[in-house]
Amino acid sequence: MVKITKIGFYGIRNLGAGLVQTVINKGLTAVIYEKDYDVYQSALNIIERNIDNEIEHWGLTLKDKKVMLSRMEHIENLSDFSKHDIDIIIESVEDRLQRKREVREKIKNDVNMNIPVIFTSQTNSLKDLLEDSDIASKCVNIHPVPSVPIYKLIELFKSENTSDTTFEIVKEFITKIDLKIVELKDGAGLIGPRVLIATILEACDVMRETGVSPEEFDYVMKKGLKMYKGPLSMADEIGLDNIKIWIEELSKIDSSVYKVPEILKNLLDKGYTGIKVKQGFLNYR
Amino acid sequence: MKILVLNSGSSSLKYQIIDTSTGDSLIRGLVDRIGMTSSVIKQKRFDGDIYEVEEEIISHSYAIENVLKLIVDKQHGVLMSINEIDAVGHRVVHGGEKFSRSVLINDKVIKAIEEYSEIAPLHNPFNLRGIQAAIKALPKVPQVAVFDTAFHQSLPEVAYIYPIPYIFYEKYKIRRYGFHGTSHYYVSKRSCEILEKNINNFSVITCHLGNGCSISAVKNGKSIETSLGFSTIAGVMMGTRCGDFDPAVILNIMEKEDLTIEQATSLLTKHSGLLGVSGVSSDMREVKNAAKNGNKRAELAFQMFCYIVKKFIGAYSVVLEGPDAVVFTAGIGENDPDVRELSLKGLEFMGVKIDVEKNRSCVGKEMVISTDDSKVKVLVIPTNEELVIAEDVVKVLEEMEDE
Repeated sequence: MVKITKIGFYGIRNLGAGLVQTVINKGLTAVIYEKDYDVYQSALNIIERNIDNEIEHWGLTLKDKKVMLSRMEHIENLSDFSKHDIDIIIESVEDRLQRKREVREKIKNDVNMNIPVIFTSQTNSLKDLLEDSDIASKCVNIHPVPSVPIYKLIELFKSENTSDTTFEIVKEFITKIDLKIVELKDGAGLIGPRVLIATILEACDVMRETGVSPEEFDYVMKKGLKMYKGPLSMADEIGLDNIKIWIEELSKIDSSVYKVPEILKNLLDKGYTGIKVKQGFLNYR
Repeated sequence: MKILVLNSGSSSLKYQIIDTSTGDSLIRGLVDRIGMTSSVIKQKRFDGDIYEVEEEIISHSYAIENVLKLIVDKQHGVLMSINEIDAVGHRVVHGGEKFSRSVLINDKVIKAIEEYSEIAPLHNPFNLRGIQAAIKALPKVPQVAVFDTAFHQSLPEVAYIYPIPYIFYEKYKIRRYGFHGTSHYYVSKRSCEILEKNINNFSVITCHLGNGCSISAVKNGKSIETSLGFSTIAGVMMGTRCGDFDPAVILNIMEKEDLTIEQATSLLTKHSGLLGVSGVSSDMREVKNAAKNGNKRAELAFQMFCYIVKKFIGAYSVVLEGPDAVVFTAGIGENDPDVRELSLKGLEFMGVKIDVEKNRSCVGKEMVISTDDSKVKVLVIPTNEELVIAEDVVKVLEEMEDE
């Protein structure tokens, strides 16, 4: 058994906030490097709101909230990761292939610690992320499902070069934070992200064709298909800016299927990026 | 014999060394926040020496290693060498239907404890971690499992089968198991000794009232009814746990508030009981203080708690067809005369007469608090689960020698 008590986060975009929340809820410390303080603050707001929601739904207590938030540390220099003696690093930056590769190199050169590196690319395969990299043995990719603190599930991918040690440590970590692991063969967007995006695209078509409201669509999905949360509310939670990036990245698989819908473009033009600004497909004001 | 008693939780490890020749606890301690940032070890020796240290303890194995070092520490320890430890006794929460007594741990026992993790997912896996760590650290020392459920394995079928389709008992072993077994065993046996009764003709109601609460009916040394059930949230209302109520209520709330199973579980285990009703605290002392200051909900929580305890005492008196004694134990039971007085108020009709003065004077000590002419004796007996575990370890080892 290895020490897994401090988890480094390179960025806190995408689904990073949910992962941080899961980590601090399980008694571990999250050391977060996020240069853009507004992004950090926005993620912190999401985490606080999620915890408040759990308190409102009896899942957590006010004391839990205080303790959990005390386990978050914000750093401004990459070299601070080693000072904090982190055990694993999770990147959670914008889901663009190029950006992920830049971060990969930063982790290699500026963080420079012999610890597992977890990518969280929802739309790129690990093979693509690691192209021309010599740190492949230390890397895996995960897809945390949206609302990971509630769903408690993670899709896990390794490359053919991922070392057994790395894989075992990562699995131990994921088990420690009480997430169920689904091990999958490396691929882009499998399974959750692709199906969720397909559903959101279909929702946009249905709303455009029939005038169905986002609330009605989510209601039918929740009550009729027994989803815990409606897909449009999930998209708002992930952030519509992130959803747009996911669609654009997935268009590399099939550009005829993955096209950013007009409804989504219009919302983003108005600055409606989802729960973080209290307006996305649905209104949270 | 010197027995190391271990109680291993998800992120904690309680330990104690008990000298069974005297029954004395030589040293006790707690390793807290295992596997988290900044773990803490707190230890207290019999002579009052207190030691506290912050360490990075990543697993139960490291915790045990640290505990063993502390036990033999020249300044704060109590043994010269770990070779002085004759055996280890492990508190195991769930022994299912397989274990009605304590057993020497072997591969089969470990497998069975593993199997019962399915019905005790919050306890057994962590008890097992402690067992495995202790085996690794002390491979030549006998290790014994003492089960919280074992004492209640004598419950008759009418008491342990739930009135739901029988198939759930057959498929998933869903039934009443009961917990706090070592405590109920200890205080029932001790009350028999104090009252100089014959155990084979002695009926007693044991009220374990702490942060967790359970009440048992014990007849001729055997548990025949107990208030905790399949899980540890049934029976009497507790600090934060609900106790018995109409099961339709939670289904209704889940539907209305759109709760997940985890949220509903948390509602029943962390937000209910004294805390849920009073809105003040899960601690009876704080609830009573608030009540004294005029907080009506705190007063209600206090009244409800005593009322529910009284209902169970009444019901179990009938189950026992007239008890010889009622025993109060654990945090509230040992230290709160108000709870004892109100829970027994008006029970003179069934032969329970409390001596108000004796009751008032009894805080945290062994004492008979009923009047001399009370048909049913009322006792306060501080529980000692660790001693039971240590004594059970000795019993298991002696039986092995006999064989």
